[in-house]
Amino acid sequence: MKKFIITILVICIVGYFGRIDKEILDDLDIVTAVGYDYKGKRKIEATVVSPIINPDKSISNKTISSVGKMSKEALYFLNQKSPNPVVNGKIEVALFSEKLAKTRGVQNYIDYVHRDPSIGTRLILAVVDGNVKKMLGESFKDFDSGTYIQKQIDQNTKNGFIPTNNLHLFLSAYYTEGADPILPIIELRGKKINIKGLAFFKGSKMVDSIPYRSMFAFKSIYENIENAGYTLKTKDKGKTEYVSIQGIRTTKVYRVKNEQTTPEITLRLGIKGFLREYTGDKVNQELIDKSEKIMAKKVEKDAEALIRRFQKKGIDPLAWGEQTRSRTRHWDQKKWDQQYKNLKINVEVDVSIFEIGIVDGSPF
Amino acid sequence: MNWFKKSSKKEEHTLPQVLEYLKKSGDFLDFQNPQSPTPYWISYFRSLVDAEIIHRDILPYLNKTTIKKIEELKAALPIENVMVTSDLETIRQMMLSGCVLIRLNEKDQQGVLVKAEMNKVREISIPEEEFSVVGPKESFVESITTNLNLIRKRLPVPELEIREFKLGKLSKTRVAVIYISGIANEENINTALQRVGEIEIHQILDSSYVSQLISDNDNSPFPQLIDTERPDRVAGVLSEGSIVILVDGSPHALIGPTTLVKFFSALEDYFLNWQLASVLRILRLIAVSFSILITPIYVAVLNYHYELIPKDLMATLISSRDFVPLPPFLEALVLELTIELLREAGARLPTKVGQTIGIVGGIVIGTASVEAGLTSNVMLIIVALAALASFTTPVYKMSNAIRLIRFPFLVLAELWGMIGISIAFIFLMGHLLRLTSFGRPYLEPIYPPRLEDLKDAFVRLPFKTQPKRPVQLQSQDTVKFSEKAAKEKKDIDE
Amino acid sequence: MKVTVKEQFLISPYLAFFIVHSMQIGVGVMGFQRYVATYTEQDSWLTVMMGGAAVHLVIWMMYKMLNKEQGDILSIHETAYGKWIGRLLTILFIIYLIAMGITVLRTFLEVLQVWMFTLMKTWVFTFVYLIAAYHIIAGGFRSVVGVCFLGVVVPFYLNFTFLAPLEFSNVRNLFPILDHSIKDFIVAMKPMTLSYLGFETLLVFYPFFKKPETSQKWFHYGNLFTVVLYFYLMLITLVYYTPDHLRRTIWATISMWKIIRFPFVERFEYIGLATWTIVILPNICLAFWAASRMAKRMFNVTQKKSLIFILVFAMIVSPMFDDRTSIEKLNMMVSQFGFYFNFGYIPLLFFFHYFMSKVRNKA
Repeated sequence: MKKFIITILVICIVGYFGRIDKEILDDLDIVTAVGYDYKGKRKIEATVVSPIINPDKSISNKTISSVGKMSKEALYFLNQKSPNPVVNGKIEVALFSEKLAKTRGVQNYIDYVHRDPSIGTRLILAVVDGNVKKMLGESFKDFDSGTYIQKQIDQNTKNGFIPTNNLHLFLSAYYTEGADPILPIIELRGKKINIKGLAFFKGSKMVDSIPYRSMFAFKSIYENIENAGYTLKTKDKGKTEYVSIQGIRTTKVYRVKNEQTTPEITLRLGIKGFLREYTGDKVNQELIDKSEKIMAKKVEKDAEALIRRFQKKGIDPLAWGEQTRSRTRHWDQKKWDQQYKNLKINVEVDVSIFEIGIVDGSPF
Repeated sequence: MNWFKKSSKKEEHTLPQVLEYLKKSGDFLDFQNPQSPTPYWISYFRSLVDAEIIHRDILPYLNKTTIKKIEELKAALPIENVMVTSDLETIRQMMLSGCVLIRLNEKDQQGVLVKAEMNKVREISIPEEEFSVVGPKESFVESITTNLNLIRKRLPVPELEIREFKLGKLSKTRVAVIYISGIANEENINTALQRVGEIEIHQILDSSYVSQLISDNDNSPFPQLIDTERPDRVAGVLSEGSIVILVDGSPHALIGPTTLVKFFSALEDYFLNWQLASVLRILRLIAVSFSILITPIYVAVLNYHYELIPKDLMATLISSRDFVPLPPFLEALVLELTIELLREAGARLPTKVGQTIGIVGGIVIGTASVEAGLTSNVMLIIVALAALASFTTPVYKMSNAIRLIRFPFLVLAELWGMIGISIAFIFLMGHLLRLTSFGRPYLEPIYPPRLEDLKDAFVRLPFKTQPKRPVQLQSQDTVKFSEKAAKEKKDIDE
Repeated sequence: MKVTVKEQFLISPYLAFFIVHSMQIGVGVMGFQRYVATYTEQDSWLTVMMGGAAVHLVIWMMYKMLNKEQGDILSIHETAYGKWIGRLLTILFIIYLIAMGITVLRTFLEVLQVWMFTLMKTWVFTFVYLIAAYHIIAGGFRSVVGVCFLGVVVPFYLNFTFLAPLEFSNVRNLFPILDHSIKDFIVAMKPMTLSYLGFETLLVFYPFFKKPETSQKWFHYGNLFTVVLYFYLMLITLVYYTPDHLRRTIWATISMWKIIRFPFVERFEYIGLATWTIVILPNICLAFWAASRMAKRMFNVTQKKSLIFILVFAMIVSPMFDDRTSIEKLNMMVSQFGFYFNFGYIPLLFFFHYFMSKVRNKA
C-alpha cells in the first residue's frame, strides 16, 4: 500500500513539473520558407511563408513579414503578428535578395539557420533577383510558395543545371580555405519561378554571377551531371541543324603539377552523353563524331572562360584550392591566395556519345 | 477462514456420528437395503454418484449372496476400486469425492468404500483460443483424468512423471505437476513442486489461480507461465524439458519455465515449413511492437515533433485534425478506451450478439465520430490497427498484457514525446530484465544471449539445425536427436 | 586478497565485450571529433587508432594486476599501500565513478535541452531517469549487464544511419594523408583517450566473471570494437565536414543526422536522440552500481543503502550545473581525472603493485 501511494505521488509530481511546451501540429504556423529583403542600411525585412491547409486539403499561402535589425529580431516580430506560434522546423528554403547578398552578405542569416537545431541542413538557399517578399507572396497551384520553390530547385538540381545546393554544402564551402560557396539565382517571371543563373560568393558576400547558359559548363566541372540536356548547333549541308544531347555522367581526373612551387592544374573532363534529338536528316557515325568534337570544344571554351573569370575576381567556387591542398603537403593558404590569380588551369574535355535512342538512321 | 474451522471443531469420533453429520445435506442417502439376504447399510451422496454403477455393478452382487464379514463383501464386488477402512477422515474424503460406503450394521466402525463417481465431462472439442488450420484439433477439457490421458497418449514413456497435489481448503482441487524425468532440470522440478505444494488458498477455480499464485513476480503485467489448451503443445514442451501443471476443472495447462518470445510462437509455426513460420513469427513481433508503439508515437509526433512528419503527409494530418476539439493525447485515450469497451462488451456477450456489437461499434461509432468531427480519421485508423495488431499474439494473456502496457507509453509520450517513449522503454526493459519464470531469465535468448536458442525464437529454423534442447531449460539430457544423421552431407549424384 | 561472489550472480566472460563497449560509448561520442580534429585535422582517424592502442595497454595492465589479486581495486590498493592509504585512494575512485554517472546524465540532458525541449526541468528528468536506473541496479549486476548488452544491441541500427551523410561528402577532405607531426598526434591523443574512458569500471566488476582470466580476451575485443566504431565515425565526420566547419560544430555526430531524410521520417535526429536515451543507460547504471558496490565493500553498509545515498546525491547535484560553461567544466574535470587516473595512475600502480606483492610474498 505504501509503495502504491508513493508511486501515485511520483507520477503526479513528474506529471505536473515535467510538463514542457507542446507544439501541437495543427496549432502552429509551420514556416516553409524564409526570405530576407534589403530595407535600408541597417534594416532588413524578413518574410516567412506558412501553408494554410484547408479542410478540403487545398493549400493556400500565408505570409508574414516584418522589419528589424537582425534576422532573429525580425522573426520575433513575426511571432507577434501571428495568432499561432511561428516555428522553424520545416523551413525548406531560405531566400536572400540580390541586393542584400551583395551589400551586407548573408553571414547573419546563415548563422541563424545554422544555429537553430530545429532547422535541417538540407535547407536550400537561393538568391532572388527582385523582391523576395513579392515572390513568397505569389500563390502557386497545389503548393505553398516555400514548397514550390524547394521542389523546383530540387528538380532542377536533379535534372537540370543547378549544382547540388543545401545549407551543409554552403557551410562546407564557406568554411573551407580552398573553396567558395555558390547559390542559384531565381526570379519571378510572370507567375512562374525562373532559374536565372548562379551567384558566387566571396566569404558571405555575393561578388559575381553567371547566366543560365553558362551553367552547363559549370555544373559539369563542379559535379556529376545526371540528366541535364545540352543543345548544340551543327552545320549539315549548309543548313544549321540542332543536336540535343543529354549528359548521362561525367568523369573527372585532376592532375596537379609542381604543387610545392607554382601549381599547374589539369582537369580531364569526360562527358558521356546520349543523343536525344536531331533536327537534321540522318544520325550516323559521322554526325556523332562531329557533334562530339563541337561539344567538347564548346564546353572547353566555356569552362576556360569561367575559370579566367573566377581567377580575375579572386573567387574559387570550383574548389581548385581544395584539389591542390589535398595533394600538397603543408599547404600554405596565403601563398595559394597570391598565386591563384595567375594559376595555370587547363581543362581538357572529351565527349563521347554512346547511345542514339531506339531509332537508327533517319526516321523518314 | 475461521468459520470453517469453527464448524469442524466439533469432532466426530465414530462412524455413525460422521454419517449423522453428513445427513444434514439433503442429497445424502443412508439406508438399509431390505430386499437383500444380508441387511447391509449403504450410504452415498446422490449428487456425486453414478446411479447406473450402483444398480449395475454393486446392488445385484450384494443381493445375490449372504455376507457375514466385511472382507467377503469386498470379494463379492466385481469392482477393482474397493477399500476396507475404518479411518474416519478417509471415509469422509472419499464419500465427498463420489464413493459409496457399505456397512453390514448400522453401528459398525468399518465399511467398504466403492468408487462409483459420476463422470460427466464435456466432449473433447476443437481448440478455440489457439486454433490452427494445420495440425491436431484436440483441446483439453475440464477433467484432469481426460487431460492426462491426452498427454500420456502423446508421450508413451515411463519417464513421464506426474505428481499430484490436492489444493484448496474448500475445493480440494487435484493439481498435477507433470515432467519427464531425465530431461527436465532437477532444479526446475523442485521449484515447481515446492511452489505448488506451498500454495495456501481456500479454493482453486481454474489453472490461472495456480499461475498467479506461483509466478515469480505477481506485480508484473506479463504472464510468466504460458497457458495453453492444446495437448500437442504440452507434449512438445514436455519433451523439451519444460514442466506442465494441470488443474482439475480447468481446460488450460500451464507451462514453465518460459520466455518472452515463446509467447509469440504459435504451435502452427511447427506445422508449417520453416520459412513461412519464420515470416509469420517476425510479422507477429512487428505487430506487437506496432501495437505498443504506434499510438504513442503518433501522439508524440503530433504534440512535439512536427519536424519529423513528411511534408506530403502533413496536409493530410492537419486537415484531418481541423475540427477536432481534443488534444491528440485525449483523442487517443478516448479512442483506445472505446476500443477496449467494444472488446469487453463483445467478450461478455453471447457470440452472435458480440459480433453485432463489434460491427455496430466499429463501423457506426467510428464513422459517426469522424464525421461529427470528434476524432480525426487518421487517429481512428491508427488506434484500430493497433488493436488489431495486439490480437495476433497466440497466447491470450500476453495480448492482454500488451494492451495494458500501451497506456504508460501513451502517458509518457504525452509528457515528453519521443524521449518519453524511450524512458518508458527503459522501464520496460529493466522490468523484463529482472523478470524470471521459475527462476530462469524471462528475456532469454535475448539476454542472456544464447545463439542456440535464437534458432527457435524470432525465427524458426529447420528441425535439423536444432538437435539440442533449449539452453534456457537447462535440460539434463541436452540431446534431442543424433546430430550426425542430420549433418550428413552427400556429394552431387551420389 | 581474493574477492568471491556467489555463483548465481556470476556472468559469462564473453559479456565483457558488451560491458566495455557500452561503457565507452556514451555522451563523448556525440562530439569527440572536433576536439581531436583541432590538432590532427584530416589525420584524426590515425589518432583514434593510436588512442585505442593505448587503452589496450592499460587494460592489459589492469588484467595483470587483477589476475594476480583475484579481487577488485580495493584489494589491489590494500596490497599496494596497506589498509589505510588504500582505502583513502579507493574513496577517490568512488567519487570519480559517481561524478562520471552524473556527468553523462547531465550532458545528455543538456543535449536534449538544446535540441528538443528547452524548457525541460533538469531535476524532473534526472529524477525519472534515476528511478529507472535504481530499478535496474536493484536487480543486481546481472541486470546491469543486461542493460549493457541491450544498450549495445538495441541502438545498433544507428550505426547505419551514419552512412547517409556520405551523399554530401568529399573524400578529398582526407588528403594529404599523414600531414601532421608526431607532436600533433601526441597532443591529440589526450582528447581522444577521453572518449575511451569508462573501461576502468573493470576494477570493480572483475570478480563477477566466471573464470575471470578468460574474460580478458573479450574485454580486448570489446575495446577493439569501440576503436572500429570511432574510426568509422571519425572517417565519416572527416569527409562530411571540412576542418573549420567541424571546429564550430559542438555535437558533430548528432549534427550529421540533420541531413538525413527518410520518406517516412524527415528529420532523423529526434529519433536518434530518443534512442540515445538507451545508449547512455549502461554508463549511468554501471557507474552507480560500481560506486555503490565499492561503498559496500569499504563501509560495511548494504549496497541498497549506499545506492540510494548515491542516487539522492546525484539527484541533488546534477541540477546545479545549469549552463553550457558549467557543464563543460564538469566534463573537463571528470575527463581530466579519468585521463590521469587511467594513463598516469594505473601504470604507476601497476609497477608499485608488482613490487609490493613481491615484497609481501617474501615477508
